[in-house]
Amino acid sequence: MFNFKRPLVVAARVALSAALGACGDLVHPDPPSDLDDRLILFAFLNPDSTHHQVEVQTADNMSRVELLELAVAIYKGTPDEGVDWTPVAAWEGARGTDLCRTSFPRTTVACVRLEAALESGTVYKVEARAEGRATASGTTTVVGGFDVEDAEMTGGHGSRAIRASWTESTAAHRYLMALRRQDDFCGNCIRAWYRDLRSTSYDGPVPESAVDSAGVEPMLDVMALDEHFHAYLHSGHEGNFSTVQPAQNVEGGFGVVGSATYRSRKIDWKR
Amino acid sequence: MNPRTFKATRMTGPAASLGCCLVLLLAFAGDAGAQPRRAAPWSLRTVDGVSGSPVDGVRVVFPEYSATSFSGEGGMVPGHGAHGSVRVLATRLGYADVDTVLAVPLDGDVRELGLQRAAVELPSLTVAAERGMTSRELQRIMFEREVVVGAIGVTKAEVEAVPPMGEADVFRSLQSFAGVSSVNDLTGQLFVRGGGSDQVAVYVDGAPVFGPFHMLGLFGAFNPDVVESTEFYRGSIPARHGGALSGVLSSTQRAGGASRTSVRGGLSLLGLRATADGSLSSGDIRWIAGARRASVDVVPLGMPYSFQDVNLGLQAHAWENHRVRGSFFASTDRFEWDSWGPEAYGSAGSDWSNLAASVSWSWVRGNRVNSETTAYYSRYRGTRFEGGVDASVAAPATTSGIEVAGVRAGVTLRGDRSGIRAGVAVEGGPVEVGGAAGGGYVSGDVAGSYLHGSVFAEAERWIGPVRLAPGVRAGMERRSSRTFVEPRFSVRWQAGKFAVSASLDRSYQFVSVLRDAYSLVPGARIWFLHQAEQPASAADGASLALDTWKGEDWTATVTGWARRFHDVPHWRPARVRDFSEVQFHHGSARGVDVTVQKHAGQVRGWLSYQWAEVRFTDEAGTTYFPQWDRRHEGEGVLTADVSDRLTLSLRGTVGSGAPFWFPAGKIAALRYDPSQPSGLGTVGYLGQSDYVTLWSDMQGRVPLYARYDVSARYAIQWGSWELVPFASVVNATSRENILYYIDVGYRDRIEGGFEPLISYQTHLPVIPFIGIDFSF
Repeated sequence: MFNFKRPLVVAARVALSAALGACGDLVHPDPPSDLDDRLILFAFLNPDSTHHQVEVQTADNMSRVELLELAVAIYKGTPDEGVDWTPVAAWEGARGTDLCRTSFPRTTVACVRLEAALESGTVYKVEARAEGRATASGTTTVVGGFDVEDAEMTGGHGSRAIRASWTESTAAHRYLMALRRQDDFCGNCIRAWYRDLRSTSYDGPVPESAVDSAGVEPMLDVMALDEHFHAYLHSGHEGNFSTVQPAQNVEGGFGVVGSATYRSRKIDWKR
Repeated sequence: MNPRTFKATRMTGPAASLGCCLVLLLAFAGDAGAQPRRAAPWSLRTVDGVSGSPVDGVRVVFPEYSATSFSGEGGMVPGHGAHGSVRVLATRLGYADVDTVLAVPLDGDVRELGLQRAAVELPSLTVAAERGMTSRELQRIMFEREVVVGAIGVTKAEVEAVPPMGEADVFRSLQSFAGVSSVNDLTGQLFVRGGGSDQVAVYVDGAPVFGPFHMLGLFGAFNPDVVESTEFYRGSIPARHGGALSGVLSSTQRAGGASRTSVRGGLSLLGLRATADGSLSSGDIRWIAGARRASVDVVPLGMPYSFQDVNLGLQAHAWENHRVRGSFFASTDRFEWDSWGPEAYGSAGSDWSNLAASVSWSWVRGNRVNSETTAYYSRYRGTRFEGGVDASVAAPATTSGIEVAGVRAGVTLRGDRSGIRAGVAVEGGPVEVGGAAGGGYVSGDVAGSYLHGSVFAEAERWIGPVRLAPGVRAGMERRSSRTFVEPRFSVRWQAGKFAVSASLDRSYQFVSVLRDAYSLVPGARIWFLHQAEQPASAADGASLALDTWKGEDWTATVTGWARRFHDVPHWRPARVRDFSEVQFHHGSARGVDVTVQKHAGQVRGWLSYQWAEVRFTDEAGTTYFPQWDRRHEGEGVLTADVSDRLTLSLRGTVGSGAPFWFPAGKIAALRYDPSQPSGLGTVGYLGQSDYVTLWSDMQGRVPLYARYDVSARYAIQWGSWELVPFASVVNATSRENILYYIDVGYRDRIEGGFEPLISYQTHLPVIPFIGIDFSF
């Protein structure tokens, strides 16, 4: 009679040996020291300002950005005519965190401020270079200035409404319209409510929670954003089930190059 | 299933009419024809009516002499001293029953009894227990019915042999067989022959089911008390099935029970289920109704998860030789984790639902012609949401919807040495992905609909001991004007107790799951239709299998396979999470797997081992490995009947770790916060931020994976009731298996420089489950 125990034992040994064996095709679970050489680049260009803040981090190790020799530049482009980029501002040197106040809580960001007057509706490229790293760059069409024409709040408790309108901002993808006010009840803290709009006006209700305990006249803030900045602000989540990275448009690295500008005006509150 | 139904299905089923390789096995062995005749008394030899080869294992009854025998090797049965004429009843799986009267030959002579091959339908999982069908019998049926390499089925006993992760589940059971991979503890999804889980089409009574899982994928949505049979094709797929590259899982609901209404069900930590079946007074109309719902969402457990499923079935023999079946399956899952408070929609969650209904009409004309027409409808809705700016804004959601309807009709013609099955199929409907709000799992909407028609043909031809089974499926998708031709060819040669089978095949797939390859992504599947400008996925495969067996106890199979994939969608969104980031990659896979199974006895089980290599190449020419590329995978399931009542089971899994992409670091995700005047430069108000993992383009592999599960079942008879309390422990040794890496960073070395620092999440810890099954 054929003894089946022996092949079973052999099969078990083979399976165990194979499973325990090295796979040989992939690296060890520990990350290598040169895991990723890409840069993270953030630049949000504002046509109302001649100073433009550009922030650079490293993807692999934020603490090592200080070791980098950085070169940051802004180019003006004529994309319809090809890749003719004209430099309009540049910065080069070692770590620049002392050059501007970073928007990020972590202090390991190289932050530089470039000076340039930007034209609305024109495409600009922001580029960051670092020795031994891939060049990161992104482009944006700079949004245009605009004026808030009307900002009025009406109605009583439970029936508040805002009517606001503003002129169109060139190249704006969306508008964020916010009602910002000081809340006396919580100790002069600032509270706000906003709507994300495609149009240049809003005529609709306001939740009571957005205006209760308002101490002083509330403000109407309108921010015009290009598509990249808008997508970035509304994405990105370190999830429990899936990680959704923020929308980015930087090539050769990570991050966002976008454009935005904003206007504020006191709301005419007809109590 | 009562005897009447069993007989009918055996006589009218499809492809198995051309089965019976065992006959050829014996014929090829060469000693059948030279079988020495017994001198006296006379003997009966059971032979195949087509090939004339002896058939062993035939149950032969001489009712007038109260004698029963089984034919041995050479098909020989003693004549039991009968003389004159004698009535003989002969039955054997795969052959039509014989009830005839024979003229008894002279002493010492041999009389041949010819058996005609008859269709064999896969017997039911649940009926198996009633009829005492063993897994060996089921395996024999599958083997005789299908020539393609890799076709298997599991009995209810095998499903219950695998220590349950909450509920007994056919998906989990299939995962333990060779040729099927799993990527982690949390999912019952099947990764077959190098393909993704969306490349395994799942059907219930002919209607596709696009989200066949419960509990974020932990186990299947098919109620084990309702399922009658499950066919599973690994890699090589018969031509009658299409639309999937790597496998087909075709499940059939029970048609109902005998005249007496019976009830069965169970209660576990995860769910409560109950199924009733019976027949109407005439006995020609059978019905079944089953339902299951989650128990984890009830007090005191109060988990934020609920699921339900409902099964309904009706079968009627409207006229003689005509059978009509109606089937309905629906399921819902909803998970919502609210971290923002009761006012918010929730910060993470997923829900999905299935509705699959079908009506089929079978017509049997004699023993050589039968046809079946099935009309079906299937709808899937899935949503996943996670994130959100604050408590006042709902988390961005991504929705997926499929709604298809189709008709499939086929006719089977059987001859003595050949047969053919041919048919047509038409299917179409909308497939939609919605992520318009942005910031969700998918950004942007993609919607489309498809309509494709196809014809298929499967043929079989016996040439001596060789069984040839060519097939082809061809069709066109109207919207994209894509045409496809899927040749399928299988051949088997049998000698002694060995059989060698080979299959060549090509398959196409137009609808795929959009899955972020960076992460595990449990929850609703996001199906999308390949757009007109995008290619259809295709796979070419070749497989070779050696099957052997010893009696009714032992079987073993060794299979080698190789496959090439073309234009398989791959999504690793790096900059934006939309369809512009979807790429279509080519790849290859190869492997060898071995399964040894002991089917009967006090101690039984199976041991399987698989070596496989799966690799793809991206558009830049860089090779990468999908998450299911687990090079080595060994599985063992052992069941022991400690006593008449107590059964213990053990499952052990040891395998290579799954590939992953290294996290590269973190990126800040700033939020627009109108209340915080902390500007970015001079621009507006930006405030809160979340730090989100960035992924590198470099892969690693998590360390060796091992897990051991144990379970115990204890059967109690209480009047007409049977109660089976059970307990199982998943990951009994509490081994810490790495699930994925969540962060990477560096820390300073004392001696200078940096060293990598990486943190990880683990698979399931040790988890006990308890429950009780019942029937009356």
